[in-house]
Amino acid sequence: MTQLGIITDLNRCVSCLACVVACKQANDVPVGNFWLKVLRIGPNLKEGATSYPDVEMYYLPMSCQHCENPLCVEVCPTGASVKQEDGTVQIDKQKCIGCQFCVMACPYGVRYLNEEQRVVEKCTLCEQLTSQGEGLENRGDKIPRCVYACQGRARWFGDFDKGLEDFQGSLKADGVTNYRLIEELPDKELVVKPFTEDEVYRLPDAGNDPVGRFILRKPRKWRS
Amino acid sequence: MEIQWPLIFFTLLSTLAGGLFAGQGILVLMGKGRPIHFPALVVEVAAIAIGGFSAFLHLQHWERIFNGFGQLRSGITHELVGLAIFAVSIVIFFLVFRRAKGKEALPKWLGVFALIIGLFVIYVTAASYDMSARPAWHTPLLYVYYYATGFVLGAAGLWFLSGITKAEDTYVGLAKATAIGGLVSLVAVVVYGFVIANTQYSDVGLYFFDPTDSTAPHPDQNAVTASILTGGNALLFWAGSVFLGSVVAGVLGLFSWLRAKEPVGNPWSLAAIALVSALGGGVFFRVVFYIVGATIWPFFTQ
Repeated sequence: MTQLGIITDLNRCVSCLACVVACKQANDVPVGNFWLKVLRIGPNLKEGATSYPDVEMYYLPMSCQHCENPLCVEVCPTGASVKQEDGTVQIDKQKCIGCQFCVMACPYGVRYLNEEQRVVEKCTLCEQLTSQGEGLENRGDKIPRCVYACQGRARWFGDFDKGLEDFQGSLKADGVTNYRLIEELPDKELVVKPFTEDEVYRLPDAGNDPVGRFILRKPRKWRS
Repeated sequence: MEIQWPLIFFTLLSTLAGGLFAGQGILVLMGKGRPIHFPALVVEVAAIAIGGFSAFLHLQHWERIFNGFGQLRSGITHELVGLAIFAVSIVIFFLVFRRAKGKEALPKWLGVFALIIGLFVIYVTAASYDMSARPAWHTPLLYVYYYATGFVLGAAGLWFLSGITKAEDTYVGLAKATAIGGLVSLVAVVVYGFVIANTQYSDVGLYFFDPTDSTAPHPDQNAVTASILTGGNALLFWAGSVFLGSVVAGVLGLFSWLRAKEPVGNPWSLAAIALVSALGGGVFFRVVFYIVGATIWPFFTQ
């Protein structure tokens, strides 16, 4: 089995919006639509704090969560929205009748009507690229553009069924090799700082079982 | 979320048609209202035709529905199948009605059949909106609301037809049914309104999204839902959904029921006002329904 998806290290995201721009450019996302967008959560008071400026915040890049049990697929009358074998949720634009019930059924507001084509669209995990990198030990530039463009090494793409070792990020200075989520650099520094299982979160679940994961290390508080 | 006018009219007219058909079933079981049946069937056909056309207007690519329509878990597919069954049922009712001669009573099975089909149509209409991602919609009260308004719409519609066709054996009884339907609708709408106003959404404290205005906060969804009782949307809810949609029809039905021996005006005028007000109330409630229909994660509500 395969379940492709993205892990985002929220401690590293600085909301540079490079991912948003790269997504728009790679997928020709219409003005006003966002297949990926960054929510700024906070500033909120830290745990136990009583007044400003004792605050904290984080940025949350949001896109389709490619859910295990996608509600958008369930409501689609024509089978245009499908859960594919690689675990991603995709839309067959030729089948879409533009009823927009999938937009209503999605808990996260990440589906948009393309008003020119009159069909619903959303993040495809850059299927046009990732399908070329399938099976490659080093995916190179065959990764979603948001991951490729991430300046802070916050976005990681891989197969959840293969474990964290499979997750790869942007390219190293050689322009060929990907950083890896679980990797020790020659100077013994970790690419991603250690985190525990209880520091990995998912978006609220409405029965859809979201796949995407977000790392937020304590003492910062995940808010949902 | 954005108000979907075509769907508002589709669901309203489907509920009206379902309510009328279920009401016809009850009249058949009671052995009454023979003159009402044919005009009621005509109204139901008109309602599903106009409602269906309205639903088509909502589709961006309606021509593609013949290109793979029928994903069996989809609420829209259920609605389409439900309406097809309803259309066939109307034809069956019509044929049985035509075969019964003179004052011969219609068979009881037809009454049970019409009642079940009417309730089924209302159910599939409501079920399409029972989405677990939208907590204000994902509640048994959604079905209670649809059945309550189906009750008042069906009763007021048949009452009106009773007045038009001068069906004296049902006129007062249907006025009484409209009064009770108005009361049931009133209770259902108010209870649903209070439940909606107290719906809880994800709370992340302060948050911002718009990159062109990085300090502009998005609206507070908990405040939006609360606004139907005491805020900016209270007029839509109290005056539109509660008063117009339930109280007017109920009071007019009660008035006609109590003044049965001394009728006021022509026999259908009060019923017509009751029906139009109940339809108007249905529109207002559905507008509220979309306004409060945010997802559990309401920060990018469209």
